[in-house]
Amino acid sequence: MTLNINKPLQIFVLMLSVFLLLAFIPQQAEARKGDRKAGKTQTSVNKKSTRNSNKNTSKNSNKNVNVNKNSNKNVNVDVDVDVDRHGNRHGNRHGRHHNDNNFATGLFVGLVVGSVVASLPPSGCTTVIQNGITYSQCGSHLYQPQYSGSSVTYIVVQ
Amino acid sequence: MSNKITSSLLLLMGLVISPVMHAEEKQELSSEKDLALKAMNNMSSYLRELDQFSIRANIYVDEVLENGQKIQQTKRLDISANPPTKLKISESDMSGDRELYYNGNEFTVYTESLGFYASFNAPKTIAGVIAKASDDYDIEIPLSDLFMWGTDNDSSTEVDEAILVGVDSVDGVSCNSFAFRQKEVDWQICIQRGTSPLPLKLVITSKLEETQPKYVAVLKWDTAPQLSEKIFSFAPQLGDQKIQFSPSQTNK
Repeated sequence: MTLNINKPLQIFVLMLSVFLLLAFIPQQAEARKGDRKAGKTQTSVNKKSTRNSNKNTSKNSNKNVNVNKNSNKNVNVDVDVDVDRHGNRHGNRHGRHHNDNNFATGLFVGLVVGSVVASLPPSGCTTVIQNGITYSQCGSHLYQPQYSGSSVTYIVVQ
Repeated sequence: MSNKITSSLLLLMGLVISPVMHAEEKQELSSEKDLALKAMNNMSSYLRELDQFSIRANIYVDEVLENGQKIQQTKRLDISANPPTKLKISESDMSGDRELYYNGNEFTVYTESLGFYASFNAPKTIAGVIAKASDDYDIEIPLSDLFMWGTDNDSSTEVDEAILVGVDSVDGVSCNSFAFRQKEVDWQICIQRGTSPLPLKLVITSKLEETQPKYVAVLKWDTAPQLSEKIFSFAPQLGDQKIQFSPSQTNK
């Protein structure tokens, strides 16, 4: 009797392991594909120009990094973000930089001069103008804001 | 299946009866694809003839994470256009807000919440701006199709297949739905029925992406807006700082 019960169980276990093995292989393949940069969703059906170019993946990859960080709970998400979003425009402008991409706070771990970040530290930044160029100074770090596409990013200058 | 045939037939009849089709009824309706392309031409001509217009649109666009998960982002768009030389777009989403200005001479992108803006000398037409912004500055003009349909860069020659989907409704407005297939994208459009063939909804599926992310635009039109000339020219507010475009892009 015990054999009769075990035999279907054994078959089941065998089938399950075969299934898991098979299932595992494509998942591995999927995972490897997932390593590549995330793609871009097409937003138009007409060519914008005669030049054929596929650009603008950097913005997406930034977002992905941010989302991943968030899921690891390495980021202090400022829940007050929306509260002061529309207030006090001419007041502490830099104080609100983080509002535009608060997930990116986790990026400020090691700053490399010449690297580009999506947003500034949440506080302690002021605007300085040197030789007609606008910089954002945050503590000992100096950033140069620029437009990457239609989004503002910051080059770490110092 | 029979429902689909019935609705396609109804749509066919509706189009044949419509005055625009009357004018061209001598031409044979050789296939569904021809009919769909004809409807697109009709819409494109109508768009190109509009004196000025305003659109309020909701955009739903998939962002694909590295693990393949799709995250849908909502964008809100306000477009004011006085073609071919004036365009103003306000766009907002969870990552912020931005405004695009084009007055026939200069193009400016402005982020009011940060107080930053950047400009470049612009070509003479909106279509030219769309190309330059994309090629040289990596800036995507939202809903650029609205300004490309009916021009030389129209993708109508790249359509492989086209079908009539049926009569649909967007925000209570009746529209004819068509579906098209191109090499890189499948797309669907719903064109308002009657004498104002406006695109009310556009769905674009990116086929080259493994997860086939979608872009959906739902449009509300005003074809007789009162637009002041002033809105198309950017005027910085006190404290706004002009910054540069990323050199890696401007050097391209």
